[in-house]
Amino acid sequence: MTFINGANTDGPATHALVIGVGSYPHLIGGTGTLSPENAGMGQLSSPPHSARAFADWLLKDYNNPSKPLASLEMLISDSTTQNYSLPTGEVKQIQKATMANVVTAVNNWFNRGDQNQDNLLIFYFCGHGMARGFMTALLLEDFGETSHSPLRQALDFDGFHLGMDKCKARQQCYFIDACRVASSTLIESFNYAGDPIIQPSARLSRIGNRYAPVYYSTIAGSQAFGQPNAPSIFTQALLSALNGPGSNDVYGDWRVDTDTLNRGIDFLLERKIAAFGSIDQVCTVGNLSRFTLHYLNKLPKALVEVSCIPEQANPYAKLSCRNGTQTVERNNPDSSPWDVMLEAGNYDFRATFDTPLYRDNSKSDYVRPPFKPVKIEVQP
Amino acid sequence: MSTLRIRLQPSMYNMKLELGAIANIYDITGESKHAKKTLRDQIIQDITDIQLDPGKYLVEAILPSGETSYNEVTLTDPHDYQELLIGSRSRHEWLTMQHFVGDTRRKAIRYDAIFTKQYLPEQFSSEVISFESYLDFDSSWAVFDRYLRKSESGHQLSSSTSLTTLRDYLPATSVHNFHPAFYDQNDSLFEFNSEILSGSRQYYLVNYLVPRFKRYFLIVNANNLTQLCCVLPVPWAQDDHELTIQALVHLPASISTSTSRERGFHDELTVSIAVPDRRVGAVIGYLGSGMLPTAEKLLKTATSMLYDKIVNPIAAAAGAYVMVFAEQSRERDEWHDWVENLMNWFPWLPDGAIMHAWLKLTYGNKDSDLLKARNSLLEGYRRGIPFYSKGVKMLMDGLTLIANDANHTDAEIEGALKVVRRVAMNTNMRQPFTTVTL
Repeated sequence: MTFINGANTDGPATHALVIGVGSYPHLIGGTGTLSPENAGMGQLSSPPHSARAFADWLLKDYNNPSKPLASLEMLISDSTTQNYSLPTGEVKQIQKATMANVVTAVNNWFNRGDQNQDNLLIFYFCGHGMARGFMTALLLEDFGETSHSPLRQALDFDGFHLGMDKCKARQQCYFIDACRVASSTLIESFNYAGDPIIQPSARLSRIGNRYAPVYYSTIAGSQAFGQPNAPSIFTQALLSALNGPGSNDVYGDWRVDTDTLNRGIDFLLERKIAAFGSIDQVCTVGNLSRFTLHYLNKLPKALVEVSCIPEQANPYAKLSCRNGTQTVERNNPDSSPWDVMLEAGNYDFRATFDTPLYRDNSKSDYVRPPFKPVKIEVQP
Repeated sequence: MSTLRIRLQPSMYNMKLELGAIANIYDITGESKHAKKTLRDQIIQDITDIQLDPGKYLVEAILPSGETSYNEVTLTDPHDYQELLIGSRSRHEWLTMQHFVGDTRRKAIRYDAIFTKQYLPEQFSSEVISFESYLDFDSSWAVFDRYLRKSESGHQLSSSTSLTTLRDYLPATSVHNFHPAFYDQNDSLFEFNSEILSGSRQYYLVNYLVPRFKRYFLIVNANNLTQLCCVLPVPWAQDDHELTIQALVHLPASISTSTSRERGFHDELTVSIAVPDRRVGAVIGYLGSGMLPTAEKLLKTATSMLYDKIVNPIAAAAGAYVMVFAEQSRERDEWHDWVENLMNWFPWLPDGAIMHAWLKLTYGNKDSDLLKARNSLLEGYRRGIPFYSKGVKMLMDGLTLIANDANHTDAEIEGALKVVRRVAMNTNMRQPFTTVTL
C-alpha cells in the first residue's frame, strides 16, 4: 500500500516505509512447504500489529513542519487480515511483505527520497531476523521458499543501509524490531545475508554527510519480544518515547532528536522488560548521529513513579496527582510504586490513607521527560 | 551564583579524568519567574563546578558505558553549594573502571539476580599470543581466517576432549598463560602492560615510530565450549608513561535449558577492555556503547588536547573514528591530516589506513581518490586485524563498496573481502576493541 499524505511534495518531505511480517508460510505452523532451514522459527502475531501501530503514529502524531509526511508505503503479512484502518476510517487492503513486493516498495521509497537532499526517510521493520557479527538479515514472508537458498527472500540489512547512501535524502532513520538470534549459522554457512536491494557503490553521495541512525530492538545474538496480538515491547517503548520520554526542550520547543530518542527508548524498554520479570532484551543503536526527527505539538509525556517513604506505606496509600483541574488517581493501593504517564508541568501529588497507620500528606513537584520519581514522605 | 559540584564515582586508578562524561542540566524550578535555562553537553571531569542560579535542576548524565543517570538537585540561595555523585557503584572496587566505561552494566543487573554461576577460574583458560606485524610468513588475518574456516568445516567443535585453540594455527610464537588479578564467580579481571606481557616495561616515552610493532591478542577459552580472541592495545602510553589496561572476562551462566532460551537469556562469554586514559578512556567507552554524538561532544572541545599532544597513535585512532563517524560537514578539516599522519607515520597501525580510505571515499571527487581508497584499504588489510571493531566494519564495508564498483573483477579486493567478511561475522560490535568469537 502506498498512502500519499497529500502534503506538498515540492519541498523537503518525509517518506516512510513500514514492514510488518507475522505470517511465514515456510516456517513452523505455516501454510506452505516447511523449509528445512526453519531453525525453529514459527508464526508471529505481533509484527503486523506493531507495523500498524507505527503507521498510526506516523499518520496521527508525526510532526515535522519542515519535512511533512508525504508518503507512507506499508507492507504487512498477517495470517488473519490484510486490512488497515486509516485514521479517517477508510479501510485499505495492504499488500503482503513478500520479497518481490518489498523490492518494489524499497525502490519506490528510494526514488521518492532521491527527489530532494533535505528529505527524511523512515524505515521500520518488524518480523524475524538473524544476525551474525556485523551482518543482519531481515526475513520476509516467503523466506524459505527456495529450499537451497533460503536467504534469497531476506533483506541484507547492512548492505541495504550501506547502499542507501546513494539516495540523495541525507537524513534517514531506521527501526529494526526483530530477533537477532535465530540460526545465525545460516548467514555464516551461506556467507550471505540476503539481497541488499539497493546495491552499495563506492561512489558515495557527494552532497553531504548522511545521518542514518539504526535503532535495533535487541543486540546481535539475542531475542526481541512480541506480545500476542499486540505491538511488540520495543515498538511500545519506541512509540511512548516519541510522545515524550525521548524529547527535549533545549531550544525552547519540545522535540525528539535522534540521540534523546535513543535514551528514551533505552529507558522505557528497560522498565517494560523489568516488569515482565523473566525475560531479557537490551536495545542498541548503530550509526547514531543527531538530528530532529519529530516536533511535539502538545506537551510531552513523562514517566512518573510515585511512591511513599517509607515504602511500607505503599500497600495502604491511595495515590493521586493534580494539575489545575485535572486529577489522576490510583485508588487501589499496591505495594509497588505507581507508574503513570503525565504531561510535563507542575503537579500536586497526594497520598491518602483509610487506615490510622499513616497520616495523609502531599508534595508539589515539576514533571519533565523522561522520568520523574516522586516520593511522598508520610508519618505514622 | 550558587555552585553545583558534580563528581564522578571515584575510580580505582585515580584517573583524574579530563574527559569523563557529558551532562545536560535542565531547570525544573516549576512556576519560576526567570526564564528556564538548559545547559547542554557539559563536559564532566573528575570534579566539575557549575555556576547556576538558585533553583531546582535535573541533571542528566550520559556515561560512557551507555548508562544514563538522572538526579535532581536544589540550590536554595546564591551562596548555596551542592555536591552530586554520578554513576552507579559497581559490585567491587576492582570493577569500578569497567563499570564506568565497559559493557558490564546490563549483565550485572540481569544475570546476577537470576543465575548462579557455575564456573571457577580453573575452568577456563586465558593466554596471550603475540606476533609482530609485517611478518613474512603470515598476517593476523590469515591466521584467523585459517582457523575460522577450519571451525566452519566442522573440525572444531566435534572434539569431545579439548578445543583447538587459535595458537595451534600459529607458527612458533610467544604464548603465555595468565591469571586474573581479581575475580569472583561472575567475572575475572586481568591487567596487562609491557612489563606483564614481555618483562620490559616502557617507563619513559613509548616509541611508536617503529616499522614493526608487536601485537598482542588475548585468547579466552571457557570450559572447552567457546573461545574468544581480543586485541590487547598494549603498550598504552599517556603523556610520558605507560598505563596498565584491564581485560574483564565475563563467564557465561549455565543457561542452556530450553526454558531459559525461551525467556531470551543469552548469556555468553565476553571480554571487555578498558583503558584508564584520562582523556580517551571515556571516548572509547562511548565508541563501544554507540553514543557517537556524545563522544563527539567530548572531542570537539578537545581535539587539540588529543592531537597536539599525540603520544599514542592507538588513542588518537579512537578519536579519529569518532570524528569520521560524527562529521557534520563534508568540508575538509584539519583532523583529516591527522588521519593521514596516522597512516603514514605508523605503518603497523591498520586503523589509520582504513580511516584514510574512508576519507577518500567520502570526500574525494576524482577517480584517483577511489584508487587511493582502494590502495589504503588493502594497506589496512595487510597491516593485520584492526585495533578497533569499528575498523573491522569499515574495512568490510569499504572493500564491499570497491568490489561492487569495479568494472572488472579485482582479485586482490575480492580475496581480502572474503577473509574480512568471515572475521566480521564473528566480531562483537558492542566491544570497542576488536573481539572475535572463535
